[in-house]
Amino acid sequence: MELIWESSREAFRVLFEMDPKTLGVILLSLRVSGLAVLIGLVIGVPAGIALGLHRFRGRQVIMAIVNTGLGLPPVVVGLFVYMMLSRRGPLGGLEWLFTVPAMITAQVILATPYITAITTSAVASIPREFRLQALGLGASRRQALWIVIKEARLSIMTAVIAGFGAVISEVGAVMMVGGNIATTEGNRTQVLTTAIMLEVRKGNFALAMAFGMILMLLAFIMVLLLTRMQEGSGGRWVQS
Amino acid sequence: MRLEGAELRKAYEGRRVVDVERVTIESGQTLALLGPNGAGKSTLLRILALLEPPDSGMISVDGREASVKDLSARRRLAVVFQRPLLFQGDVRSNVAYGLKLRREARKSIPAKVADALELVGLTQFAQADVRKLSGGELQRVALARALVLDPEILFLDEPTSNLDPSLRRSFRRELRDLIGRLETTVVLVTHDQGEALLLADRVAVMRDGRIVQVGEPENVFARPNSAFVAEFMGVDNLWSGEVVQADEGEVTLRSDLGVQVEALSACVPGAAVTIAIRSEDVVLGIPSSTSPPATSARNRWRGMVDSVEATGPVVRATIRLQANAGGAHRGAAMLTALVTRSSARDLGLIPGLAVDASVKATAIHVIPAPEGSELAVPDGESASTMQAEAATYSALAG
Repeated sequence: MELIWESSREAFRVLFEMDPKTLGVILLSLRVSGLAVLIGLVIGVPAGIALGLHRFRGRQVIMAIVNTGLGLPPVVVGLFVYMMLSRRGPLGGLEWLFTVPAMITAQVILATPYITAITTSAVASIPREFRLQALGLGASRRQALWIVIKEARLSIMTAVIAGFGAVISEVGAVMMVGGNIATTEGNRTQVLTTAIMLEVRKGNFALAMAFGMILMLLAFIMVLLLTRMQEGSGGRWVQS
Repeated sequence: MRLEGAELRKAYEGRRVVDVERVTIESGQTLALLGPNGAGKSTLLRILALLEPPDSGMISVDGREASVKDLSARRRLAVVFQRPLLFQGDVRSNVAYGLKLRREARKSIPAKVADALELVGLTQFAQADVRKLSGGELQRVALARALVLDPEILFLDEPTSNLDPSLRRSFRRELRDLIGRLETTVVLVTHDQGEALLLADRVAVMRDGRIVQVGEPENVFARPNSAFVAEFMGVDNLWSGEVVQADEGEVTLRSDLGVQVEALSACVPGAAVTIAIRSEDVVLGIPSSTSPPATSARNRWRGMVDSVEATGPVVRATIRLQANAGGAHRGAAMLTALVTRSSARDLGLIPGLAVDASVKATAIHVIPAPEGSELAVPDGESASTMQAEAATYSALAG
């Protein structure tokens, strides 16, 4: 009990003092996961729109792949990216292994299925007539597509948050391809989750807890945003 | 604007949905596409409104071919669907949507929006969030959103069927007033004959993707060209039978169940026909023991009340008719009569009561049966000549 008490006090002290090292870890976490989600958006939103709006050959196969992606173990993704980027791998020439780009790559693979799947269902849940209605009021095809995206925007935001939540808290992939390098200058790859693991191993529970708290705080903010958004949208299209 | 469709065909997953030889929409008129669910009327509307391409056939606007990709042609039209399908936001932004798409001058938008909202009586709701509106209000916003564009043709796809009955009636009246006032050309899709009668200048009755009859609503109502149209237009009594005797337009018919009917028709003896009798044209009386009253009604049948059902201000009575003398029949012929509540009360209409049902010969509509088949309508590829002809009727005005 004393351990928890002591560690908590120490954790708060770390949090309030916020030395450059701690801050660096937090910022790198946000940067890696933020960029991963951003790239995931660029891939996942158009893919989700295509999957949600159109019925084409191979759609079911793609949907199956996307849905499998939702359950991908981060460690396995890490292993895959590791092998691709390792010196003897097909992308070894990039020399990305144990760098930030490698971590972002792994997290893009983890986040994209979330964003794609949620966007797909968001777009599919908007009645087909909605697009026809826009066309029927004189929208060009592009304008009609835009109104569908606009109508689905809350759900797409949900996708962003869900994707971000998934990657910021994963440890397997970033650990494997990033290597948890904790240097203060140069190539640093330590993020919140990997830092927690390292500090626990070193017996430095207070610092581990401080990182944990930050992670939980981030998760809480995400959930708060999600809830607010979901309450803001209603079943508007279903009338009588 | 003159919109024309020729040889329009559309199939979904091998099932024919639209198969229309020709349909023309002339400026200033309201054309109703009337038919049961699955008749293809909404699909035809989407094709005519340039929202969906046909598999084959051609749409022309003022004589020039137009397609789904023809944005400038599409922008001369506006569509209102069954569901209001409003966009997130307030009423104003919804009504302004089409204007913004057309890059209307920013300054002119508020006035146009206000005018459109006034037309539909929603001025006070301009700033309301659409989620706070009722079903009827939502549909009126949807209407305003189309009207604000001053479309040359307004397409209405079952605009009232999402509303509850009392609202539907008032919305219909509003629609009629608006259409009359704005002199807009309208294409209305509906499965409700009452709506078509109220709103349309011309009605095209659809079945299985085809237009089976087209004409002025009163005409289609009074003179359906097939048992299908008759039934769909609400004719309760449809008997199949044949012409026994014909004399200068006056014919004697015998129904398959042995009822003898006098009517007016150009059909020749031996011809198979459908005998259509509107329930509101049937007069019920109590048989008198003395001589029957002398009236001009050529048909008088003795029968017994089978059931009595009150629906609103009218009573629907089903009469089991006695077969005419000598009629070899396969069962009792039934006749539905519509009488007012007070008539039913005065007659003491209850099941088991003996009644005389009379119908004037001029009130009976004789529909020649399609040649060479017992079916009212042959399927797909083997359409009879009569139907092919019906399909080529255009919905031209006048």
